[in-house]
Parts: sequence; structure tokens; C-alpha cells
Amino acid sequence: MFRNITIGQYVPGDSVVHKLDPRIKIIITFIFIIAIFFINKLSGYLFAVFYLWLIIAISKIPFSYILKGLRPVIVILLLTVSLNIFFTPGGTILYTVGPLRITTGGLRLALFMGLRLIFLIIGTSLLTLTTSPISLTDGIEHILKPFSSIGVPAHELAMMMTIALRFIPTLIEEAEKIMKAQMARGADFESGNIVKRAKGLVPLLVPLFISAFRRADELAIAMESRCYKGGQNRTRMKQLKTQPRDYAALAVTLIIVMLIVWNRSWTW
Amino acid sequence: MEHIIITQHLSFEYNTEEQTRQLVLKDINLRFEKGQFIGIIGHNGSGKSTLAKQFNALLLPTDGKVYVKGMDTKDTSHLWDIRQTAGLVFQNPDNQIVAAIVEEDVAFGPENLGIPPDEIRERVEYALKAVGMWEYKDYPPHMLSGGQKQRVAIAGIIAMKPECIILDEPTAMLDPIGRKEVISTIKKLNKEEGITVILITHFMEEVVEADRVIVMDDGKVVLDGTPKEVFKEVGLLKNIGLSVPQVTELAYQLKNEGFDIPSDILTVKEMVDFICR
Amino acid sequence: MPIKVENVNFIYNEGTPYATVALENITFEIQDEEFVGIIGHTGSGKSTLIQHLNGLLKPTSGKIYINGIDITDKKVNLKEIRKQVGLVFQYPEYQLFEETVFKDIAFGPTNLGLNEEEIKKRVYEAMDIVGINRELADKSPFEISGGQKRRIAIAGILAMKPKILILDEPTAGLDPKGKEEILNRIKEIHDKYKMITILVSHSMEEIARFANKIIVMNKGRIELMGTPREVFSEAEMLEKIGLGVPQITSLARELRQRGIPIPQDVLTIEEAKEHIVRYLRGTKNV
Repeated sequence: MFRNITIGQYVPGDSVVHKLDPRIKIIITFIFIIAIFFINKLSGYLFAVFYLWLIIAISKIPFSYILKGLRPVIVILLLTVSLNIFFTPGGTILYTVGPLRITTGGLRLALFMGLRLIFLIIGTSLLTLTTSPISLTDGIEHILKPFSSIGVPAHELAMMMTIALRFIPTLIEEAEKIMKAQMARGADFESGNIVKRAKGLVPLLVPLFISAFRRADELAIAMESRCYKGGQNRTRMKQLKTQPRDYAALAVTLIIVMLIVWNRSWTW
Repeated sequence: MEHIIITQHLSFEYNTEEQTRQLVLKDINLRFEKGQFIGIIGHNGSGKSTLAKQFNALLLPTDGKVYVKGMDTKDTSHLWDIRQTAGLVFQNPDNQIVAAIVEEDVAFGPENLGIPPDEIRERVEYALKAVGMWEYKDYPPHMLSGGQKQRVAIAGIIAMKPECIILDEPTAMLDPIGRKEVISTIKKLNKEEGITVILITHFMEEVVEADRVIVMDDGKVVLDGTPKEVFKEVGLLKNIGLSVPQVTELAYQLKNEGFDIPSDILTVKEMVDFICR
Repeated sequence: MPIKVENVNFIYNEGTPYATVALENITFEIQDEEFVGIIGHTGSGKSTLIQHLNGLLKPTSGKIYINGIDITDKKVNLKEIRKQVGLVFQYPEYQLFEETVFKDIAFGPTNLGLNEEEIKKRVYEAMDIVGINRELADKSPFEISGGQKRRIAIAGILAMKPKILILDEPTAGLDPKGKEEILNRIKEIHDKYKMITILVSHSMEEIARFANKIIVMNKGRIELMGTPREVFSEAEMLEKIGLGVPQITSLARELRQRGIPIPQDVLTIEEAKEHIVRYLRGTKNV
């Protein structure tokens, strides 16, 4: 059952999008998210649609993967949309159900909010779909590095993420093993009400935590014996170098942003 | 003769809150020659793992001294030089691999030492090739077998260019194939790269070809010599809960039957030669 | 409570690009009171196989009968099967979780729904069998030494009074003394309760000592099956799949090749000694 859980949702590939410098990709994603909030009329979404379509086409990520990314937030999406529909005043009243009114203003806002959320999620999924968790970590570390002088723990954050990526598969495997071992002792993880099920998890969680702590302890000693002394004076084998394609990607993104800003002054 | 590690009257006790002061290491005096393959055997709790941690200053003596290439382990100004000189490989391969990609893990040590990126690349390639894992450089560690993971851990130490590698029961959790992989890797590093190897184990077969074998019991060194000198003490070894190779045991029993058989037989070939002489 | 495995196949991640055949056409039978050794290296399918025997894994195809009951049937009561088939996993001490040794051993019997009186009786009995002092019952299992922890974990299975006991590499990671202790306990348990015992290992020496039947697994298939003597006489095959034979068996083989009359299926030091002594005394008399 645990095997279905993958870390992140990276889809390996060798498109230009995959090969972009992770720092640039993270920055681009941020710019795009901010740009989405600048859109104030439906026509503005045309640019966003075009931009996302461009990325999807180049990266060759199957559209089904992108839809899969939307599935977990469907509840939030529906909630946002319906709240906006029913509780936004303004515009002409179209329909009345008891105390609730559906107005043109409400519909408009609901549509905007819904689209905004969908674009936001697609944008960030494209980042994680085309960037391996490891290079994502590298990217975050390098972006945060200049801020370490003002107390941002860039190196520590990156190290934590690296270790997490390293040990998640190990712990998943371990959880599976412990679960089977307890099932062999008659443990039941699948039936009963919530309270009973939560209680039933104790034989899984206690050994799992103990093991995680033991591993952490041993890892700390091993790291120390490999001369780990924090981020100071540390070099990195992998250096991130920006290429012309990174600047091109950035340029395309900025053009889209400018178009979106320009779109604000349109009349339709 | 150059000595890589020297212990002088080394004693050690863990700091426990309780009043029971228990010495884990008792007055240990050893000198390890450069370039040798040294085996340390003993049952669990004999103090052999504690001793290993003394060799790269993860633990410091309660009494006495440990010198690594002339550097006193208690002198904190040499701490990182000591750990770079004497690298330690642990029992559980899973819990010493830090990064999620093989080559990045091997780079971890050199990165900590502040080596320039290009040289790290060279070292990683050299280290992974030395342990025969170069083709796996882009693998995530959890996709490797136990023996492969342990070889990656060894590469991680090699990349720091140590003069001595201490391995603390590196094969205890491996199957026979993994064990073979790791042992032949260590032997190769000793012979071809001239790295001093200190192998701590409870598998006797792994130290049969060592230059020197040290037997520990109850925090003390009880035997110290060539494998032949050590393994002929079958009675003593059995007494402290260690086993000997089956043919050595057989030779011991034949001797008790009154046969004039050398008591230092270690291999099948030696036994065959004796019987067919 | 005989075991019958018929044409079992098992494919991991079936229907995905990661599908791998873990077991292929496995067929064997185990009769009451047998002591069976399953040997093979990591990835040979031995751990996958034993997980089928108590229904933790379901075969992709094929049948498994425990005491005549088909446990691959969807309607079968798995709890009942797991009560009969005790499975001790590798490094079982890592599953301990209760506050006290007593409570931990009682976990299995409690899940069986036994009354307090019976649970208490079984826990203490299990502690006795594995050689854990009853005074340790109220201690935390985490304050206890490694070798003892493992025996406590085994006691946790024994307290369920299984008719079939399966142990997956029970000596892994122990020193020679610890290995001896565990193996001798397992032998004692088998002698006393006569339950079917299946010992999974990658050590030929261990398996050769107690098993009356050996199953050699390789790449998901049964490579060899028979008495220890039959299996070890195939030394070349065993070496080919990376298992090797006990040092004493290869000694016997070398001696035979040199023309010395010694049976090639010698398994223990005592046997070898007997033959060699006879040979050496004989040549001296000539």
C-alpha cells in the first residue's frame, strides 16, 4: 500500500523545460503566480493559457498528470467557487434560493477565483513535474544562500531536505515491514471505527519512530566522522550555471507578464 | 617502521548517570603499522566498536592517549585532520549514506573539507571506480543491494583520501554475496592503493588473510599476532565465544586424537595437503 | 498441519511498468514435525515465499493449502491462519513497542481474544522457552540487550502457540555466541513442541545442522530440494548461484578428488573427523 506513494511527482524527461536551471524555474514560477493575481479580466487568462500550453507542449508532460495534480484540491476549489457564488453581493440578481442569492457579481468573482486557483496549481505542478526533488533542493539552497547573512538557514534547510529525500523511501519500506510483522502477530489495521484504528496504529508508529531516531543518531555520528561541521567553508561538487536558454525562458515569462499588465487597460 | 595509529594505556568508560563505573576499554597498547591489513575480532560487547571510535576521535580516552599519524586525538585543533586521515565505515550501510544520489553522497566528505568543485569531481570518480560502483553514480541509494550500499559508503571515505580506513563490522548485515563484494573491495584498496585497513568483525574467515589479527575480550587485548598464531588458540577463542574456521576446528580435534598435525591450519588447501602428504 | 504449495507464481507491481516476477512455479510439500531450511541470497524470493504461507501476500496464481485449507481463497479467515502459522520476521526486535516485556509478548495472544488467565500463562511459558528470566517481565523491552530483545520478539510469536513456526534469518547480525544461543533454542522448541519449523537463512552451516529438508531458492525459483546430503552433494550448483557449501563439505570434496575414500556428503566436523581418522590410521597400518 505504501509503494504507491512517490516523493513529489517528478516525471523524468530531457526537454528544455527539464534542463532549465532549477533556480530560474523557481523564480519563473514565482513570477507567474504573482502575474496571475494581476489578471483582472477574463481575456487576461488567454495569455496565461498560452504560456502554460507552451510549457506543457515543450516539456511533453502528459496532460493527465496535470489533471492528477488538481484532484486533491478539488474540494477546496468547489468550496471557494460556491462560497463566492452565494455570498458575493453586487450585480443583478439572477436566482434566489431561500436566503441565498446568485448574482452576476458573484458568478464573476467565483469564476475568477476558480481560474486563479487552477492556474496557480497547474503552474506549481509544472515546476515539480519537470524538476527532480534533488535539483529543486539545490535550487532552493542557491536562491536562499545570499540571505544566509541575514539569518536565513539556507544550508541547514537544504541539508534537511536532502536527508529527508534520502530516508523517505527507507522509512516507507520499514513501515511496510513493521506492519506486516504486526499483522503476523494478529494486529488489525483495517477494521473498526476511527478510535480503534488510531489505537491500532500504535504498534506501527512506536517502532517506526524508535527506528527513525536510531537512524538519525547513527547518521549524525557518520556525518561527524566524515568531517561535517555545518555549512561553513563547505564547497559543493555540483555548481549551478545559467545557460542562454535560462535567460530565454526568463525573457518569455517577462513578456507574458507585460502582456498581462497591458491587458488590464483593455476594455473587454 | 612508521605507525599510523598508536594507543598508549588507553582506557575508556562511558559517562553514565549511574554510579556503576564500567570500563569498556582497559589499558590498551597497540601500534598499527602503515599499509597493513589488520583484523580485530571479538564478540558483541568486547569493546571492539568502542575502540574503532577512538581511532578517529569520535570518542576520546578516559585515560591514556591515542595518536593518529602523530596527532593526539585529545588535541581539538587536529580534529578534522584526524578524521580525514582515519576514515570510519559503520555497520549499517543505510544509516551512513547522506545524499539521495550515489555520487552526491561520495562528494559529501570532500565538500565538508572545502575541496574545489573540479577536484571533488575527480575524487568522486576515482573513489567510485576504486570500489567498482562507477556505473551506479546516478542511482538513488535505496535501489542498491546491501553490499553495493556498503561499497558506496567506503567510496565516501576513500574520496577524502585517508591513509587508514577503519571498518566497524561492515559485513554484519550483509548476505554472503554482499560480504564477498565488500571484503574483496577492502583487500583491493589495501593492496593496490596502499591504504591501511583495520577491519573489525566477528567473521573469522574475513581475517584469515590479514597481516595481523587482534582478539579482544572484556575490553582487553587477549591475543595479538598473525592469523596462524591467533587461530591455533582454538580453546581460548571458543572460551570467549568466538568460532574458528571449520578446518581449524578439525585440525584441533585431530591433534587431540593424537595426530601430529600443525595446529595453525586455516584453509581447506592446507588441510588437504596435510592429509595427502 | 501439513503445508502444500502448488504452482505458485507471484508478480510484484503487476500491471505496472515495474512488474517483477518474484516467485515462479513454486511447488512443494511439508509434512508434520518437519524441520525445513530455506536458503538463497537476497532477492532469491525466499522472504516473499514465506510471506505467502500466512497470507500476508497472495499469490498471483497457484494454490497454498495449510492443513488442507486453501488460504488463497478470498473467503478464508486470515486471522485463523495467522494464529496457526507464526512468522518471525528478520530483525524482529525492531517491532517491539509496548511498555513492558510482558505486554509486548502478550500482544499476539491478546489479539487472539484469549482470557487474561490464559494470556498470562502463555506469556510466561514463552519466556521460559526462549530463556528470558521471568523477572524481566516488567522491564521495558528497550532497556534490554540486543540478543535478549530478539528472543523476546520470538516469544511474542510462540505465545500465540502456532502449529507452524517460520523464522526469517533469526541469526542475522548476531555474533557467533548469540547465533549459537538462538539456533539451539529453535532446535529445543522444535524438539519439544514438534511444530513444523521453517528456518530461512543464507548460511549453509546453520541450515545443515538441523534441517531434514532443504529448499534452495534462486531468482524466484526452487533450484534444489531434498535432504541436506542430497543438496550438498550438488556443491558446484550451489557455488554457481553464489551460496557455497560449508567449509567441511568442500574439504570432503577436495579429498575425494585426491582419491581419499570419504563420502562427498559429509556435513559436520565430527563426521569428517571420523572418516579422516579412519583413513589416516589405515594408511599408517599399511
